[in-house]
This record gives sequence, structure tokens and C-alpha cells, in this order.
Amino acid sequence: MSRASAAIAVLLLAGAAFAQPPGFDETKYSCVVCHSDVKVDLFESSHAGQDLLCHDCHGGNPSSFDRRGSMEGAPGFRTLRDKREALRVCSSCHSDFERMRHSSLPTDQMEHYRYSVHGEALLTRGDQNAAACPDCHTPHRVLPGSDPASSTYPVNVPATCAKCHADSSLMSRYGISSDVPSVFASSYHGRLLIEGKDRSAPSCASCHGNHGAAPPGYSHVAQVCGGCHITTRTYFLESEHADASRAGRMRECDSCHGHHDVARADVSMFDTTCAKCHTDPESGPRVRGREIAANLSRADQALAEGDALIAEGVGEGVDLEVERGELGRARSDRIEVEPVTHSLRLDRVEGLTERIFATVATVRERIQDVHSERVTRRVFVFATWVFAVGMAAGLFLLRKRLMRGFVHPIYGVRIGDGGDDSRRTDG
Amino acid sequence: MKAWRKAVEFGRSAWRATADYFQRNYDLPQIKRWIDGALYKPVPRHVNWAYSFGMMAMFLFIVQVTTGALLALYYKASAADAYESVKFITNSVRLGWLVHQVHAWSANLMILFVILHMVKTYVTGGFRAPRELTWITGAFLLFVTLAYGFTGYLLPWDQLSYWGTTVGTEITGAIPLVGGYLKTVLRAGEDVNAATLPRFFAIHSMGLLLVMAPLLVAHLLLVRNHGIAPLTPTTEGEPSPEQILRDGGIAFFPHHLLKEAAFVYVLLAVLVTLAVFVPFPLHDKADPFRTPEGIKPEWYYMPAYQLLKYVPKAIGIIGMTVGAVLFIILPFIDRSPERHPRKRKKAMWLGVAVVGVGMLLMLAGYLSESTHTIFGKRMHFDLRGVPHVVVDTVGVDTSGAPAQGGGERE
Repeated sequence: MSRASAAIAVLLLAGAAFAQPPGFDETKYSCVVCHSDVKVDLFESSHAGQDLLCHDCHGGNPSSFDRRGSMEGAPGFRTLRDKREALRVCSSCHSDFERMRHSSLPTDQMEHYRYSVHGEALLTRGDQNAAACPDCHTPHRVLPGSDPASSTYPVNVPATCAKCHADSSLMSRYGISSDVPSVFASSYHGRLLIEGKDRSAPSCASCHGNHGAAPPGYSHVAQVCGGCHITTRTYFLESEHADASRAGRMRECDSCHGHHDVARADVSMFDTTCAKCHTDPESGPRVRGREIAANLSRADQALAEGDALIAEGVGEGVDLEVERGELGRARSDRIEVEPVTHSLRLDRVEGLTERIFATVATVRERIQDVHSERVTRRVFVFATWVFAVGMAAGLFLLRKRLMRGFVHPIYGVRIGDGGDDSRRTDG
Repeated sequence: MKAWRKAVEFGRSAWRATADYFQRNYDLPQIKRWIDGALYKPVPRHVNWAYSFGMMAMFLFIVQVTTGALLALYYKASAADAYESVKFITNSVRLGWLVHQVHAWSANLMILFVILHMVKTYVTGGFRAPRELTWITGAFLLFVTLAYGFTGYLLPWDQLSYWGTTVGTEITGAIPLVGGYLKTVLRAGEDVNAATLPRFFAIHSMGLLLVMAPLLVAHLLLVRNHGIAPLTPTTEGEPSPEQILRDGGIAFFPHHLLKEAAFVYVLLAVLVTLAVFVPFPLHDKADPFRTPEGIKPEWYYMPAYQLLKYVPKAIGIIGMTVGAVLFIILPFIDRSPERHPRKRKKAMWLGVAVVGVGMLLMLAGYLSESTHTIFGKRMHFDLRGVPHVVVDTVGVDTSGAPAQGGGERE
């Protein structure tokens, strides 16, 4: 990096670090003189954008440059170290409809919080370990949840929760496993969210709620999962498993897929997971499971074959856009068949997989047609050459024959004899 | 049997009546003399296979008109439908793929043969008096052929044709004074847009034909009138037909024409082979919001396109325009009486230089903005075709470097 660009970078960083609300006079605001570490976080927060500064939450007198006069001795000063006090200060604005009218934020978070596990612990038992607003939103650098730098941005939520829930000494006091964050991080959901930055994947808050955070009971698991997996839940409710869950013999989705450790579902589950309950490998459910799995595997093989056929055809310069579209439709069928498997109805699964097989068969036929057409085209080229060479040879022979003894019809000169007047036939 | 005899008798009497009609109303012996004069025109002894380039070009033009008319049965000249209609022709119309590919290949071969025909005429001094007009009509035919290529290129309305035309028409804009106006007229707007396509189709299928047809007829009449040029100096005058025949010449028909017809059959087979084995691909549909990398024009525009990368556009355009004018009026500039190439060494060297520079520019054009491995080294050719060794991210040439500790260099 050149000196000039380094200097520009330093200036830009300095500018960003000392970004402050317009009209703010640092020489007249005593808080930032001592709490310079907090200043940057506060000035980058959403609050600073609303002209909310230190004294709006902490009280005190920021115009006084005397420690006592500005803090302990000033009216209304509060440290907010007691989380209940922090809740009151936050909710004084965030539960006030008049103040929140022009923002898109709801005003019922405090009510949600009151009935959450965290809220009950703090407000009922005065447990200062329970998470309150500043624990999740950070005390000063409060950013909207849509900001990727925010602690409540979906991708960052697991790390935010893990601040407490991965703390084994803290969690042991409540009988909660501290490996939940790491288990979630290695699950299919966790990898999609954390590694893949896929915001459509669930974070902790998607299942547990945020302000009203509470662990869903097993009786509610299907509802929680079904919030996203709507079709799957619809088919599940039609199955024998739904009856077993209602009778308490099964924990709905959790029995097969787990919860924090949800793995990517694949056809092997029909063998391994089913066996957990249906121990007899020749029992009706196991046989049906194997048949469903076999259908899915065959559909996957058919789709892979379709892809290979398309790639082969395209590689040979064949236009297969229509076939590619048909294969795309077959892939949609394959996606659709997964929720259908939760109905445990083989006929329904077969109905969809048969469509996939039929589509791939069509693509196969088309490619075979293309191959046979290619052979035809080569034969056509060969025939063209035979015809062309035959005609050319014939024309040359005809020319040779015509040239033999040819006398020019106008000038009477014998062609091919050249340069001898005696050969002129017209004298 | 009776009916059959009646039909034959009717046919004979109809033929006699028709013949009588023409003999009564037209001077048939005069027409026959004119046709015989052209048909049996003596062809000099030095005429070899290179003299068939013109006939090849004309045959390819006939192929162009025929296949173009067939394509027009299904082609839809609108931005919304053009691409799909070409796809339909290629995939769904019986033998549509063949007609489409033969049209594309014969267009390229036609330009090639017209250029070769011009080169042959330059080398053999065929442009000299009294054939100045033949040369000038030929030069204009070359330009019209190039215009056919340019206007036809856009018609498939795929990414390559769209952006190739954008680049091509952009060059027009660099012409001093009238460039901007010409560009807008060509594009039917500021950019190549939905209105450009029907405009190009109209020019391609109708406009250019109106120019091409009279030029071609004039060119052929002039060729038939003067016959094929001798290699002797202009000061010696034109040899008489008898002299040509006595010097080993042959009659245009049947001898020369049969030879050319044989070449035409071989060319037809070559055309079909190229259409089957080296088809022109149809790329993605034209997308004005997605510019593909390394857009290049067709080979026959590549030298001009590449030249404009080295010189300012205005100077390049003026230079090429002056070059084109000099090319047209060549018979009036090169006044030497000599026709034989061995006696025109300077002219031959000039020709070699022009063709050589053109080939080099074409090569640079194709290599530009691409990376190739040459003698084991990864080379990237920049916009101007200048090669640079590809280095990895830490600035080390990894292409030819030996493995650590394993190199044996002296």
C-alpha cells in the first residue's frame, strides 16, 4: 500500500471512529470525556441517530465537568447495573406507543419478556444472571436487527445466545446443557445459518422466540417446526405418527430428527431412524419405509442420469432447453416428494416418483433421438460427398470427351491443338 | 392408347405454336448469336483453378438467396420473437438446422471467395484497362457482401450478435461529422434496441439486394463483354478470340464452365460438411443489461476492429475510408501497363504487405483479451493483443518455474 493510500485509510478510520451526531459539541458534553470507550459504540448506534445520548438513559448532568456534579450528585443519575432498572428505562420508550409510533418497532416486547423464562427469572426472582435488554442488544451499540453488524442479526443470534448458554458454570446452575450452541452450530440448520449466512435458516429465536424466549415443549415441537416446514407438517398430521404423538408414544418431529442437532434428512434415515422404534426389520412399517426409500433413491439416480444426459447433449452442441426445463420440473417433484414421505403413504410417494421417471425417460429418448439424428447427419454428409465427387468426376470426364476434337462453333479453331493455323477447319 | 397419342399430338402442336410465336415476333438468330458469343467466349490458356473464385462466390450468393428465402418463411424479425424463431428453425423445422447452418457458412465462404477473387484479379492485373469498370463494380460487390455479413449477424438476436453489432455500430459513430447521425440511423435510436432488428432485417433481405442485383448483373455483363484478361501488357492490346484459341485457350462453354461446375459440386459438399460438423452455435438470448467478456466481431471485420485499438478512432476511420477509396479507384492509380505479377514486383510486395498486416491484425484480434499456454508459459493477451506472462497472486511466474529444489538450470 502506498503512503498516500495508507494516510487516506487512517483518515477514513479516524473519521469513522469519531463519527458523531450532527450538532454535537464534545466540549460541552462531559460524559464522553471520561467514557471515551463507550462513545464510539453509542455514536454508531441507532439511538445516536435519534439524538438519544448518555443522559437520556443514565440521567445525570452532562453539562457539568465535575465527576460528582455530572453523575452521583446530579438528579436522576442511574448506573443501570441492576437489570430491572435497565428494563424500566428501555421499556419507558419501547413500550410507549406515542414514542414508537414513527418507527416500525412493536411496543409489546416488554410484555413478551415478562412471560419469558428470562423475564420470569429476573422480574419474579430478581435473578441478575437472566438475560435482559442490554445482554442481547449490547448496552450502547444498539443496532437494528437487519444490520449485519447487530448482535440480533439472525446470523449473529447463535453467538449472542452462546454468550450465556455456552457458559458451563452459569448453565449448570439451571440444569441446562452448555453444549447446545455448539450442537446447534454443527447441525444442518446451524451450518446453513452460520456458515452459509442463509437468513432463511432458523436461528435460536426462530424456535424459542426472542423477547418471549421459552423452550417449546414436545407437544409444541410440530407447531414450531411446522412454522417453516408447513407442507411437511400437513402430511405428518395425516400419518399414523401423528396419532402416536397425540397418544404420547412419540415426540412428533423430534423423535426422528432431533431438535438442536437436526441433521440433513436423507434416505438412510428410513433404515436407521425407523429402526429405533420399529425394531423388527421385517415389520410392515420397516418394509414400507424401505420401499419409500428405494423410490427416493431411484428418483435421485434418475435425476442424476438426467443431468448427465443433458450435460452430454449440451457438450455435443445440442439445444436441450426444453428438456432442461422438464428436468427442472422433475426436480421440483423430487423436492415435493420429501414432505409427502411424512404421510407414510407409499402410493403418494410413487405417484410423484413415477412422474420423475417418466420425465427422465423422455429426456433419454430425446437424447437418443439426437444421437440417431447425428448418425443420420453423418450419413448425409457421406452421401453428399459421394454425390459431389461422382458429379465432379462425371463432369471432368464429360469435359475431356467434349474437348477431344472440339472445334469452336464460332471461330472454327480446333481446341487443344493450339498455335497451328493449319488445324483451322474453316480455312 | 388413343388418349395418349392425342396428348402427344397436342404437346407437339403447342410447342410448334410457341416456336412460331417467338420466330414471328423476335429476332431469334440475333439472340442466339449474342448467347453463343458469351457462351463460347474463348478463355486464355493461363486460366487456372484460381479463376473459379468468382464463380464460387456467385454460387454461394445463389445459396444465400435460396436459404435466406427459406429461413424467412419462419424467421420473425422482432426482438421479442427473433431468438425463439431461430431456435424453432433449428430444432423443430424439418432440415431447418441444415438451411440455417448452410446460410451461415455460405455467408462466410462467400466473403472469403469474394476476397480471394479480388486478390486473384489484383495479382493477375485483371483490373487494368479496359476492365476498370469490372474492378470497380467488383469492389462495390465486396463492400455490399461485407454489409450483408454485418446486417445478417444481428438477426439471431443472441448475446454475441447483439453485442457484436453494438461494437460495430459504435465504430460508425466515430466517423467525423456524420458519425453520430449514421450511428443513430443504423441503430434506430441511441442503442441497439428492439427497433434495430427489423431495420437490419429490411436492409439485409431487401435493401442490399436492390444494390447487389444491378451490381452483379453489371459485373457479369462486363466480364462476358471483355472476357478474361490476358497476362500481356495493356500496350499490346487485347488478343483476338482466334489468337486466344490458337495460343491454347479453350471455350468458356463447355470446357471452362464444366470445370467450374465440378468445383461447385465439391464446394457444395464442403458446405454441407461444415454445416454438420462445425455448426455455428446459438448463444444466450440478447440481454442489453449483461455484457459478455471479450466481444469480438466476425473474422472479416477483425482487422479493422483491431486497428482501431491502436490508433484514435477518427484517424482509423478516415484512414480506412481513404484506403477503401484507393482500393476502388486502383485502376486509375496504378497506371503501369504490365499485368504479369513477375513484372510488377512493387505491386506484389504492396499486396503481400496489406494482406500480411490484415492477417496479423486478425491474429492479434483473436488473441486479445484471452489467455493461452504458449511454449509452456501461461500468456495473457491484453486488449491490444500484447502478451503478458501470467503471474500468481504473489507475483511469481509459476508457469515455467521448476519445482523447489528440483530445477536443473545452467
